[in-house]
Parts: sequence; C-alpha cells; structure tokens
Amino acid sequence: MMKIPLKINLVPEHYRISVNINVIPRSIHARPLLIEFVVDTGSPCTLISFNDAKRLNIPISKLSKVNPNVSLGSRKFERYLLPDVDLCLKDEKGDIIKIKSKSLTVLKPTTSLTQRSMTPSILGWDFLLSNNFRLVLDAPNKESYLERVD
Amino acid sequence: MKQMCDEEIKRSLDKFEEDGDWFYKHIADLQKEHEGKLVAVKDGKVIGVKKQIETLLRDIEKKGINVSNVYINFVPEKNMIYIY
Repeated sequence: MMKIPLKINLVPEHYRISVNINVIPRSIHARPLLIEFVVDTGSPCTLISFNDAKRLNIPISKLSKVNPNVSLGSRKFERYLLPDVDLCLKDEKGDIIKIKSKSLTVLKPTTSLTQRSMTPSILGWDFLLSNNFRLVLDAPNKESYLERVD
Repeated sequence: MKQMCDEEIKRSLDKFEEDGDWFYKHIADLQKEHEGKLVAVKDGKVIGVKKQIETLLRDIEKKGINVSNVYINFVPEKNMIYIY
C-alpha cells in the first residue's frame, strides 16, 4: 500500500488541500522545480500555474500548445505541454516516490496582468485516475492522503 | 543536467515544505502588509514581495538565490474566498 500524505492548510476563511512535488523535466533543458499543487478534483487536468512556469525559466513558446484552453475563476488560459517529467513526492515514511508524467501542462494567461498572479498550480482528476490513486479526506479531523494498492 | 539523487530530492522537498508551513502559519500577518501580492519565503524569512511574478523573480535572482527552490505564494485579500 502506498500512502502519500496531503497538507491541509487554513487560508483565512477556508481550508486548502495541497501537496508539494519536485517536478523534474526530462526531455527539455529546464531545472528541477519545487511546486505546491492544490488538489482539485473539480479540475480534469493537472496544471502548472503561470507563476510556477516562470520559475522553470523556459520560453513557453517552445512548448506545444494543447487544446482546449481552460477557464479558471473567469480567467482564461492557454495550455502548453511539458512532456516527460518525473514527479517526485514523499510517502508517509518520507521516502521519495517517482511518478512519470507525459501530460503535464503549463498555463499561459490570456487575461490582464493584474489578475493572473493568484492562480495556483493544480493537481487534477487525471493524476488520480492515471496513477490509480484513491483520494481520502477526513474533513472533521483535517486529514487527507492519496493511497493505492501496488 | 546533473541528476538529483533521492536524498537531495527529499532534502529540497523538506525545506520547501517548511517554508510553505511558515507561509500558512503567518498568513494573517502577511495579509496585514502584503494582501493581494506574491510573497517569496526562504528559510523561514520573507525574501521578496511583488505584485508581478517577473519582478519578484528578478529581485530574488539578483540576490543570487535559485528561484526553483523558493516557496512563492499569493497572499489573498482580506474577506475574500478564492475558488479556482
């Protein structure tokens, strides 16, 4: 059984479930990047925010555009494919789990500059499905984790 | 590019997690001064605050810090819930 603990943090007025991942690009020349992904089962896809993509320090124009675009909180974004990455997470024992991904996309906003800074990176439904993860949330006890039987 | 071993990855994730924990622990204080802005945290200290990611990253790089290891998050405005 593999179990990956998730963080539940109190943002004023609400709670946020997230997981920290070291994203290591394999097929493009970019440095490994630490990202906090907000877990959002309402999102069909896993997305790297524009802010986090800027930290990758690669020209988005060199990546392939993916359809369709996405709308997040009334803001529209184009998506660009970041092919062949290793997603490194910690399991409950603190050991590193490496998950290969070929479908991670990077967001580029089409909205105004002042609106774009608040969108986080998102771990979506596709990640759970393609890796056979169950998402467990115990809301009263503020505990959440991903698990799968190997 | 040099390959990272599991121990390096774990160490970098641990440090990043500590800075994220610090951010959420101090988010109410951060809101008083920096609401609606991006805050960069490294080793439990705020190392940069800007509205735009490009200028924030430029400031951090000027200090000789690798931005890929820096925890950066948006400080929400008071009395506002963000639904993505």
